[in-house]
Amino acid sequence: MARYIVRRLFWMVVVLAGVSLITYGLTYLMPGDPARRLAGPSATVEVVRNIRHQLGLDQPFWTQYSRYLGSVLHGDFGYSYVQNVPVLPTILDRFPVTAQLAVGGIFVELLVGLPTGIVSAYRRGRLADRTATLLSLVGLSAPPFWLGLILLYTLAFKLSLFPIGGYGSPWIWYMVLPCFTLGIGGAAVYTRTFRSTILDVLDQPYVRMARAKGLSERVILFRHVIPNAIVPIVTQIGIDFGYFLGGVFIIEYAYSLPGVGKQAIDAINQLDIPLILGTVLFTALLIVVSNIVVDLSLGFIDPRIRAR
Amino acid sequence: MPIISRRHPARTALVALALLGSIGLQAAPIARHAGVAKADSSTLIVDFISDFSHLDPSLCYDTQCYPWMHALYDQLIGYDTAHGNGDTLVPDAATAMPVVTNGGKTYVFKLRNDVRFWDGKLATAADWVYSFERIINPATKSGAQAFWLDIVGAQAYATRKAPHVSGIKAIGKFGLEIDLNSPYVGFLNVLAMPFGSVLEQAQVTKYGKSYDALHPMGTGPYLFTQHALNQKLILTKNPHYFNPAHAGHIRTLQADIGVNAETSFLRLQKGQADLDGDFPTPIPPAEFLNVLNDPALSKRVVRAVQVATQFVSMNTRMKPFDNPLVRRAVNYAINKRLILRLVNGRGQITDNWLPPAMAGYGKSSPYPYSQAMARKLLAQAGYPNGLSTTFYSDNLSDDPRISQAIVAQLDAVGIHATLKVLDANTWQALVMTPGKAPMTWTAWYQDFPDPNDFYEPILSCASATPGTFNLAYYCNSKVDTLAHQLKVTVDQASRLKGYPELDRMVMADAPIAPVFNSVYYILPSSTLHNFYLHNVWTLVFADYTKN
Repeated sequence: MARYIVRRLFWMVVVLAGVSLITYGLTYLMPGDPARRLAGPSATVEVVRNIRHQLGLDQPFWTQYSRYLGSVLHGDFGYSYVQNVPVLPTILDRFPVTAQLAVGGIFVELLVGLPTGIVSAYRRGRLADRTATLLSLVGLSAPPFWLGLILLYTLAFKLSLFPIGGYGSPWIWYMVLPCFTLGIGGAAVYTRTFRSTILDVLDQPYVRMARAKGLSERVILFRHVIPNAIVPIVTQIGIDFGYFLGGVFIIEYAYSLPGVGKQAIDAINQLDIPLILGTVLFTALLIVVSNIVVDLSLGFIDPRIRAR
Repeated sequence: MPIISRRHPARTALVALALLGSIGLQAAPIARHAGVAKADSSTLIVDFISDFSHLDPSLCYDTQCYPWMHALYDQLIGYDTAHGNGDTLVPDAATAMPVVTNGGKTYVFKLRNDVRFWDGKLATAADWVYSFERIINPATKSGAQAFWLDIVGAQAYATRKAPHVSGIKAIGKFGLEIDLNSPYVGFLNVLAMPFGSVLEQAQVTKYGKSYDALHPMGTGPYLFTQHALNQKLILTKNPHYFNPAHAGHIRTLQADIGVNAETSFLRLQKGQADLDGDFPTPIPPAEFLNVLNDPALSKRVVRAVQVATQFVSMNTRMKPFDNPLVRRAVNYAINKRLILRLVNGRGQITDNWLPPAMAGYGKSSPYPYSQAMARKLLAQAGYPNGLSTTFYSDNLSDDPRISQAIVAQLDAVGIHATLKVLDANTWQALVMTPGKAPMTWTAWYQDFPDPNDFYEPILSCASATPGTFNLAYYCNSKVDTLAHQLKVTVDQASRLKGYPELDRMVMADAPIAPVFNSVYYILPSSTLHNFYLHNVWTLVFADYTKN
C-alpha cells in the first residue's frame, strides 16, 4: 500500500508539472496584452512598454516559465496583476465558499440520487421507476443557470424563504439553493447509475443465495447489494468532488457566490495571468488529490480492489 | 455495538448521509429566522459583478472605481456638483482656483490647511508633490502618466534622468506651483481626475503593493473600513472631513461584489440594495423595456447621455479604407436609427466625433443616411461593383448585434464585410496590431471634460502608432496643427469655438463613422434620494440621501 501511495504521489507531481507547463504556455500564447489592459486606453506606448517590462512579460518564454516555477516551488504564486494582492491567499480566501458548495452539491446528489436509485431498481418497470426515470431526465435537462434563476425568483424573491444570492452569515442559509441547483443534475446521474448497478447485483448468485437462506430484503440490501453496487458511485463522487472544487462558475455566477470558479473567469477576462495560473494549478492539485483519495477509498470499500 | 461499524462501509455512508441531512434540514429554518439584511437608511449598498481593479487613485482608471476614489480622496480642484452636469471646476483641497501666470504655463495653488488624512496627519505641499511625482514615476505603472507629461521636467523624471519633476514645487507648507511646458487650460481637468488625489507617502511606503487593495489612506468624506476581496468594500463617513458641504449624508457605503445584473435587479426591488453600479448596463437588457413601461419603476429611472461616441473605425493605412471616398461611403451607408432600435433606444444618434455633452461640440450632419450617395462614392473610388473587407467586433454587451446590423447595411451598398466577433482581449490585441483590422466597431469615453481628450490620444499623428487606440492610424498634419493650437490657447471661450471646425476637418477625412452617443440608464432604490449621475464621477455618494 505504501509503495502504491508513493507511486501515486510521484505521478501527482508529474501531472502538476505538466499542467503548469501547458497552462503557462497557453497564457503565453493567449491573445491580448495584460500591460495594455492594466495601463488603460489613454496610456502611451512607453507606459505600456514599461509595465510589460516590470511584469517580465518581455522576457522569453522559458525565462518567464522557469522564474514562475521557481517561485511556485517556494510557495510564492506571485501577485495578481489587477489587484496587487498575493495570489495564493486570494484563492484560499475564496476556497471555503467553493468547498461548501462542493460538499453541499455532493450531499444533494447522494441524498436524492441514492434512495431514488434504490426505489427505482426495486420497483423496476413500475410507476415509481418510470417516475424516477422521468425526473432524472428533467434533472439532467434543466440548465443550472436557468434553474438557479427560477429558484431565486420563486423561493428567494417571491416567497422570501432564502436570500437573493450573495454570501453571508449564516452561510448554510445562503448555500441551500446553490447546493440544490448544483446537486440536482448529478442526482439524476446517480439515480440512473445506482439503479443499473443494483439491478446487476440483484441478478448475482450470492443475492439469490441470500434470499434462499431467508434473509430479509432489508438485510440483503444493506449487506449484499449496496456494498457491491456503490463502487461506481464512489468513483463518480471523486470525479464530481474534484470538478466542483475547481469552482462551478455557472452556479457561482447565478447565485453571486464569491467562489474560485467566478474568480477564475474574472481573471481570464482581465488577463490576470498569475491568478489564472494559480487557480488552474490549485484546481489541478485538488482534482489529483481527490482522485487519489477515491482510489484509496475504493480499496477500503471493495476488498477485491485492495487485493489487486 | 457501535452505530458505525467498520464491517459495513455502505451502511456507514448512509448513516453519515442521514446525519448530514438532518443537520442541513435543521439549519435552514434556523437561518430563516435570521432575516435578510436590508439596506437601511444609514447604509448605501451598491452591487457590482466584479471586484474593484484598484483603490489606489494613481491606478484607478475605470468607471467602477472612479466614484469610490471621489469618496476616499481629494484633489486640488473638483467639479461643482450642485450645478447641472458638473463640468464647472471649483476648488477642493485648494483654497481657491489657481493663480495662472507665465502666459498660462504656471499654476500656483494655495492649499487648505485643514485637509487631514484619516490618521490625523495634515496633507501638506510635500504630500501633493509626492503624489503627483508618483503618477509620473514609471514604477507606479499609472495609465494616466501621459496626461502629466506636459509638466516641465516630467519627461526627464519619467525616463529616470532626473530625481524629481522640476515643474512641481512646494511653496512652503501650503503652497504648490506647477509649471507646464506650454499652456493647456485642460490641465485643470487633469488635476481634477482621481489621479490628482493626495496620498500619504508613509502609508504607501509601509504597505507597498497591498496599499492598493487593502490599505488605502485618503482625506475624503468617506474613510476606508474594510475590503473583503471579491466580497465587500465598506467605507464609513469621515467625521473630521474638512468640507461640510460634501461631508456625506449616509453613514456607510457598502459595495456588494459578485452580484450579477439579474440578481441585483431583484435585490433592488426587495430593498436589499440601492444601486447596481455596473457599467454600461445596470438594468438587465431583458428587463429594460419592462422597467420603462412600469409606472412605478420608470419614475425612478435616471438617464444620462454619456460623454462618449460609439463609432466604426476604419484603418486609413489599409485598403480599401486608405481611400477617403470609401470611408465617406461607409458614413453614408449606416442607418443609425435602425442601429439605435437594436439597443432599445439606449443612445442618441450623432454625426459628429465630439459628443454633445462635451464642451466645444458643434452640431453638423456631413453624411445623412443615403445608400445612393454611398454607392456613388464607391463607384468614384473605383469600386463600382462593390468591395470585400473584414469587420471586427468584440463580444461584449450589444456590440456583436450592432456590428451584425452595420455589416448588413454595408452589404446593401456593396461593401461586403465579413464579420469577425472576438473576445474582448483578442479583439484589442488584433485591432491594435498594424495591418490586421480594416474596420472595427468601438467607442471612446472621455477621460475628463476637455475636447482635447478626443483628439490627442486617439486621432493625433503621435498616437498613430501600434498599441494605441488610434485604431484608424489617422494622421493629418493640418488637423494636428489645429488641435495643438486649440490645446495651448489660453482663452477658453475662443478655444472652444475652434473645436467644431476641428470636428468638421476630421469628419471630412472620415477615418471614423460616428453612430451614436450611449445613454446610461440606472434604477436607484425607492429609498435613495437626491440621486443624480455626474459627467465625470458618475456616482457622487456624498451628495445622496436615504430615508
